[in-house]
Amino acid sequence: MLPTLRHVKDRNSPLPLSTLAWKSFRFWWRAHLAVSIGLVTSVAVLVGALVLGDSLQASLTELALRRLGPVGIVIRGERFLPVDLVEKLTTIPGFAASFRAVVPVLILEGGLRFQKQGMSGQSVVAGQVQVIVCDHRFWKLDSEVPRPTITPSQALINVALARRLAELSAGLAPEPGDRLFLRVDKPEAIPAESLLGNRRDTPVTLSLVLGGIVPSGGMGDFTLQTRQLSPLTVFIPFEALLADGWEGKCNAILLVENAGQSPSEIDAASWLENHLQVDPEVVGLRIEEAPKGYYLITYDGYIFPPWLERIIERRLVGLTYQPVLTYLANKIAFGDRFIPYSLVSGVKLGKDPPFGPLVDISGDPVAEISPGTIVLNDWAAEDLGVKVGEIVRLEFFLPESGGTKLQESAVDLRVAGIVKLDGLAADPLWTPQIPGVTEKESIRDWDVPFEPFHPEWIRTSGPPGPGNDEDYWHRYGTTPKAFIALETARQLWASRFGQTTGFRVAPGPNVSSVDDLRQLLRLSPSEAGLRIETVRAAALQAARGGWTFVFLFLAFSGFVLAAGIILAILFVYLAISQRAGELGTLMALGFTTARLRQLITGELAMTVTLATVAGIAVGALYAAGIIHGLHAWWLPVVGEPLVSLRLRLLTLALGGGLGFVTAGMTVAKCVRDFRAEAPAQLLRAFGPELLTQPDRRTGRAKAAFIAAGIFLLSATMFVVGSWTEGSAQQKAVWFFGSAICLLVAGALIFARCLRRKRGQGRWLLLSPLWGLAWVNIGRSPRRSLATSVIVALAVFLLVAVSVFRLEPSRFLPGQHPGSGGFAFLVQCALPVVEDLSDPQRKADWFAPVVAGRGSQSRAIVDAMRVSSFRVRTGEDASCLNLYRPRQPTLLGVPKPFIDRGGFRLRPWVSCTAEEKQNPWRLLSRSGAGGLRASSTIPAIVDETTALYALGLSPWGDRLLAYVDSSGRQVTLEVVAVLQESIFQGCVLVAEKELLRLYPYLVGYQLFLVELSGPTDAAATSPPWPWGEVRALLEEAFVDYGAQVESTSERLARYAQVQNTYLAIFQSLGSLGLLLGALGLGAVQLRNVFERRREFALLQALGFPRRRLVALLLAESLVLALAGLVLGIIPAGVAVLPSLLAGEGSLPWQWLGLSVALTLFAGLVASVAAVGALFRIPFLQVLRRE
Amino acid sequence: MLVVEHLSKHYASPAGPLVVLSDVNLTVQPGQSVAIMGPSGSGKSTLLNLIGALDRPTGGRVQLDGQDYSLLPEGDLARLRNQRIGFLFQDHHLLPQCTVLENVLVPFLAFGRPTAHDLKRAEELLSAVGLAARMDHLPGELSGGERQRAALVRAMVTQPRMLLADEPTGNLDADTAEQIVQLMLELHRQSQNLLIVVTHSPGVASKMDVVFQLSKGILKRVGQESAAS
Repeated sequence: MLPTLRHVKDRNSPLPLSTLAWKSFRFWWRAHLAVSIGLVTSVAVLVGALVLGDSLQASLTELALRRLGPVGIVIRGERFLPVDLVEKLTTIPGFAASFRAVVPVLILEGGLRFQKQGMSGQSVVAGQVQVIVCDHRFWKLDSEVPRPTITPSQALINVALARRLAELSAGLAPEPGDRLFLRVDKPEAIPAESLLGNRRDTPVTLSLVLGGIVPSGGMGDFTLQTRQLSPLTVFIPFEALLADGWEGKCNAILLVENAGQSPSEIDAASWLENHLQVDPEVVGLRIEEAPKGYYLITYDGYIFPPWLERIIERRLVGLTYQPVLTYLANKIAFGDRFIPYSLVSGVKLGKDPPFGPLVDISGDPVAEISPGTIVLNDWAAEDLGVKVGEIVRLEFFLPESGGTKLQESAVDLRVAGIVKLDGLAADPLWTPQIPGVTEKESIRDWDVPFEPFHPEWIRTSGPPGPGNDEDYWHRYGTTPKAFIALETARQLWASRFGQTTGFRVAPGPNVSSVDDLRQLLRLSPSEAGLRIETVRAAALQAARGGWTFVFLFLAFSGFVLAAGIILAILFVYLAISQRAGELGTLMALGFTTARLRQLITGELAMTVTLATVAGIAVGALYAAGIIHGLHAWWLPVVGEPLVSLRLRLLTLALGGGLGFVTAGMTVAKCVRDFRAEAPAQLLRAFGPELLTQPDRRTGRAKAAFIAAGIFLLSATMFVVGSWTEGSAQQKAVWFFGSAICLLVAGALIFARCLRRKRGQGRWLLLSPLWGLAWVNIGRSPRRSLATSVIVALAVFLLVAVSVFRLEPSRFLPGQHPGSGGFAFLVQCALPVVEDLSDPQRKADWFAPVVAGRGSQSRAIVDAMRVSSFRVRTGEDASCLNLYRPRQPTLLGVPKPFIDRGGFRLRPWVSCTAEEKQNPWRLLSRSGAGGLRASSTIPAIVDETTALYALGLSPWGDRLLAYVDSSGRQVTLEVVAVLQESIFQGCVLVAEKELLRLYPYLVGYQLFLVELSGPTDAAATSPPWPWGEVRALLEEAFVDYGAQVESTSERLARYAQVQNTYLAIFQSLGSLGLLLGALGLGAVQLRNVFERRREFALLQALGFPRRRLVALLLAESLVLALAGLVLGIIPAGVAVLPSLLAGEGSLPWQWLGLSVALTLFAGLVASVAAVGALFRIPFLQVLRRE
Repeated sequence: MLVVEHLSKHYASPAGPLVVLSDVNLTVQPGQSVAIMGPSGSGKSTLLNLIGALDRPTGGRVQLDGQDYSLLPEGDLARLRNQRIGFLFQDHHLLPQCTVLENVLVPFLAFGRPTAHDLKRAEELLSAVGLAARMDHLPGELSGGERQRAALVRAMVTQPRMLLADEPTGNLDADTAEQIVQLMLELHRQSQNLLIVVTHSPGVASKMDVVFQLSKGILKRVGQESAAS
């Protein structure tokens, strides 16, 4: 407490100015309290927004860290890794000092069918389940939970999955002993879409028994995905997968750093990058010494991936080597004779062993094969009866074919030579190992994965020699029957999977053994395609994503901030006017204006300080309220409570500091504007208008000029917004700018109207009550203006924001513009190899499902058109995920979909006429054609995702960085955005580009389903039976962990989140109106006090009290309605373009609410004024006057 | 000595300039007390405000001890009011938030802070006017006469060269009014300053050395010793 005079009597300065300020502050506490309301509001919205941001970030951070457990670094690869790599890691010198645990896991996606014990035939399906295959080492990471013990036939599930299964089973909670049928993808070294890839046996079903439920809080919540939704996880032991080709494989190695040993996980990651040497076998290389005097490098995926081929060639520089591409020809035909299923090698022969030459039947060397020619071995030539110079036809499958049925092709080649089946020509190592083929004793036992396969073509009878395929296989195995030039082979058979099946390396100075070559081919982690991910650091980074919402929130809080400041200014002026007499006295006693300012500043400094402290507390409560609202509104969408209130001293101090500065600047402005008139006038206690800048005629003229200028600016912005070629958001910026200018101009015009003195009598003639009310509100134009502007700001916020509310639920599937005409989305956890956009394949796919159903199902399938998308799973960048995504999920857009067009797209780059017509074609751009660099890949993103989740903009950054399968950084450039679409959360690129980046990506995981026919006329005729369509789709994709969702459901989920944001912004508007009501009430109270003589006189003249009440009511309503008009007209300007474009609907309910709240504000003010009126002691007042 | 020469004050109005004072001349000697009387609206308070540097004249000049302050800047005027002029209003205009003693010390805050000497003088003066026991009371706890006495002490605490009183007894009953006038005259005699009192009361006016009548903006001497010119 400041000292009172009594305490300082003995000192030299018995009454410092600060004491007077303190005493004045205490005495006029009501006035200061009123000022505080505005200031507290301003501080609270700032603090509230920052606390909200902090709470979001802290909650997201905590959640992300809890999901990771102690894991800080993860090693992942594009392909499966050997579990042995863990042992290799632990033997690196220094590893133990940096890391205390290293755990191999297989993290897969799958689908789960759940069956309660004893209830066979009844089961429920949960799609998109995370499968963690692990051993005791994984469970050891969680020190608090007892390590579960499960047998190979058992599985554990986490609490989230248990809850989900219970929901699906109508409350029947999973218990140990229940059956689980888990569908997971079988790991295949050879890509399923390549010739020798396995298309038929994936995925596989694991039949398991539920062994228990892993409690939440520990490793049960483990996931490497940064999203707030709890993962639905099944845990199975490695042993459960022994039978399905996973033996000894993992796809992630989790590392836990030693606390205090590593400076940071980033450093630990670079330490690993520098110290880990990856053996060639880890990346699938096989190195062997061939009997023919060379070393052979082959790949367990048959054909070398391009990135690995590049690395090998770099390592082999200085050595002599020979790349080979061996492919399977379905037929080598000459006339009507053909040899079935022969291997043909593309090679560049050398003149010297071990790479050549071949020897022809005349004994001459064949050291070169020209392009377009073929060299047959004598077995084949004899079988076909072909001679040198004649043309043979090679028939083969195309190297990249989607689905189980491959496409065939053929080429005619001139026979350039016939070589003896001897020496180099009789080397079976021209062909790498092909599981299911090369190890078979008989050609009849071949287990080929492709169709059509004709075993009847294979000749097994007849004498040994030409004409007996079985004999050839028995004697020569995989020895090719023909050789062609390497370049010809690559023209025919190179694909996204590669162009080389073997490297034959001659011994050299440094390579004299297999071990030498192994040493040469040891790779660094990045060369081997291993990603050392600092997952904890990434999670912390991603947890900052919540700030996008907070920044928006802060921006909209600006309106309330402004309202609070205006209210504070209003109350400061009122307080000063209330004390006009006192100020006059002080001036009479010799106080200068500057000294009076010091006194007022001293008082207001205390107000600001206390308001800041109170604002911090209120702000924290306010943030708690918003978080409560988020939970209430979001829970149905995001599934679980996420954010909890976090109060950090630093944030409170920052918010409080910002609030203090804002409040301080506000009162400083008031004090600066304080301009004391002659003390004689002050002593007569005139109104506040004398205490601030005088309303000079020149000032009025200037204000009118400014108003006209701002109005012109508003009109200009509106015109620019109307004509500009830009996104909805870009246009919205112009229209909002125009609207805000209009609001300011309107306020200035209103101020001018209030100050007009002449001609006011006419109002009285038109309506005595309203006319008098209008005249009376002109008594204190600044007060009236301030209150109306507060109401206007609130109304503007309420109405302008409401137009952006989304209501997709009113659309039937496929009707919403954001659905692109597609009715359903099928998202699969496991890839489907078949491209269902092909009508025949679609028919085949649905045939088993339709078979058991009626004709309606057949009609549905007939009307169904499917678009299949390849998916490179990444992060969810939709509004459902609050984490900031780094590499969102990529979708490969197939060519037919690009040609189809549809959806609402807005280009971000200049377009050709053709691209304007169908902006999807922008995805086909290549090279530097309109892109920022020749290497960038065009991409399309949902507008909301681009602007808010990824922070991109058409005029700024529109590039996205990705890492391709070879570990190289690639850049995507957003060329167009989709408006309010089902593709929110992912990045779309052309399918061919996606496959170029990730060649081993196999199959399709997203299907869009459209139905021709009744959908188009849904409004008038009965639409498709959507329940039946959904059931069909669910059954058809049940084995692929599918989630079937109508497009309107998907859009509704997104809309619910967006609408939650809007509701929160609108709650700010309501808060603003509350401030308006307060301001209005205070102004009316003060007016009544100042006019007490007038009211006393009117009563003495015989005015009934109800007449005075009506007058006060009219005055309050005029001010409130003026605010309503000042707010609604600019709001109309802001939303009109959206309404005209059909992108929003007139927000009647919000308009109604605004009007109701405004009237409420007027009523509150009137009640306050009338209460004051009734308390006036009229007789006393009259007597005193 | 106060010299007022050709003093005039006009206000702008829609019907043209409103003349409140016209060619007022007045001289007041040190130790002299002057009463100015006149009907309501005659310009008495305006004249007092001009003399007290609370307002600026339209024409003419006001000199106190040879210093013309009609054209002084605001800061100098404030200093002049603070150090050389004391005011006593009909409404006491005590600050409700301050005690009596603090109210008396407020003038010292205009350009600094009160010293121990100022405090001593304030206490002495308050004791002299019978408010020794009321020093730590708030104005709201005082009677009308006590408030006006406190206001008188506040006006005199800086030892002003001139004391201006505007209807100092207007709100008081006759007995209290008499006490205040006596007190005011006593302090005036002790300090030998100039005293100008605007009043409607003939009784109060009769106690002054010179009485002037202001009517329609024109000042005329109407009684007692000759002091006006």
